[in-house]
Amino acid sequence: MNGVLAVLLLVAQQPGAPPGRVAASLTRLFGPGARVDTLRVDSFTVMRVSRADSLLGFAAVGNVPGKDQPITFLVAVDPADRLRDVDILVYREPYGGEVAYEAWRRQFRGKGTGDSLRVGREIRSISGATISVHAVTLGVRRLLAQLTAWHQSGAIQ
Amino acid sequence: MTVTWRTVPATLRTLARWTMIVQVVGYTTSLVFVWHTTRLTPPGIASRYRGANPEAVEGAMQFPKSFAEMLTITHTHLLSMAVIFVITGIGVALCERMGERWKRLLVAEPFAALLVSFAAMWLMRYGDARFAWLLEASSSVLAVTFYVQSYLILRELRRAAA
Repeated sequence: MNGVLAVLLLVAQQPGAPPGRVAASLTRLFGPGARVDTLRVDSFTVMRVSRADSLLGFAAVGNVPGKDQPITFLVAVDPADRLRDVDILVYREPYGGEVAYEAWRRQFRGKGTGDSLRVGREIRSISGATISVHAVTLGVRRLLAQLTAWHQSGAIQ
Repeated sequence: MTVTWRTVPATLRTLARWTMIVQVVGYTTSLVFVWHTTRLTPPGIASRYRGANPEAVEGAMQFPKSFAEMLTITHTHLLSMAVIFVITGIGVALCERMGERWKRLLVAEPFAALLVSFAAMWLMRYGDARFAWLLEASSSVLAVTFYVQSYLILRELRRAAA
């Protein structure tokens, strides 16, 4: 089931992001000093973030195709499967990098799988970055669904 | 011997006629695109280049254009529009129903307006948003000149073919 889900979701984890950038992103999202354990679910890598005995959430890196190049992003969820934030780890296109701006990313915070997360509804587009906006929004929606499904099934805990 | 539309081969007139028709369609499409993105108003143009407070506006967010984007917009538009006005300039130069001074003015004016427009675009982006008014004015002059040139050329071609 999970294997089929992973194929259907089509959020590739390659190409990856520089480890330093992932670490910096996790520090920003969960605070410094958090413990990060790597979990393997099917062919996917999920990061479990905790401090002392307390679970802070999960994070995963994904890729979506932009206009010509993949966009590498990180999705972090809290223990209630709500989005903590989204980070653009590597943006390779010459235009459309505004999807990394805080003003756009913060629209995702607190959202769960019950939210539509569609451009033009809950997510506003960006003038001049339409393709990237749609790509990242779709990628976040799929990765959020994947993390939530794994968490609720006990595949990650 | 003076070369005019009347003296050039009919095949060249056909080429010129269809080139002008396609250019008019292309230029009009670009104006529709600009209307769609800026509503052709100075505040809309300024927001497009300088960005706008996401909380203060509805619809798509607008962020300031980067230096690289500004360079790309400038060189692609400046060079391609220069080619358009070289074509229409040759078309105007071959017209025989216009005075020499008017022809020279119509040929030179778009190039001056192009330089003013793109200078205004940079000044608006990095200087003062009010340069959007200068950009709007010079771009309007540019568009009007293009349509006047196109009308005069097509009229001349029709008469030369008669």
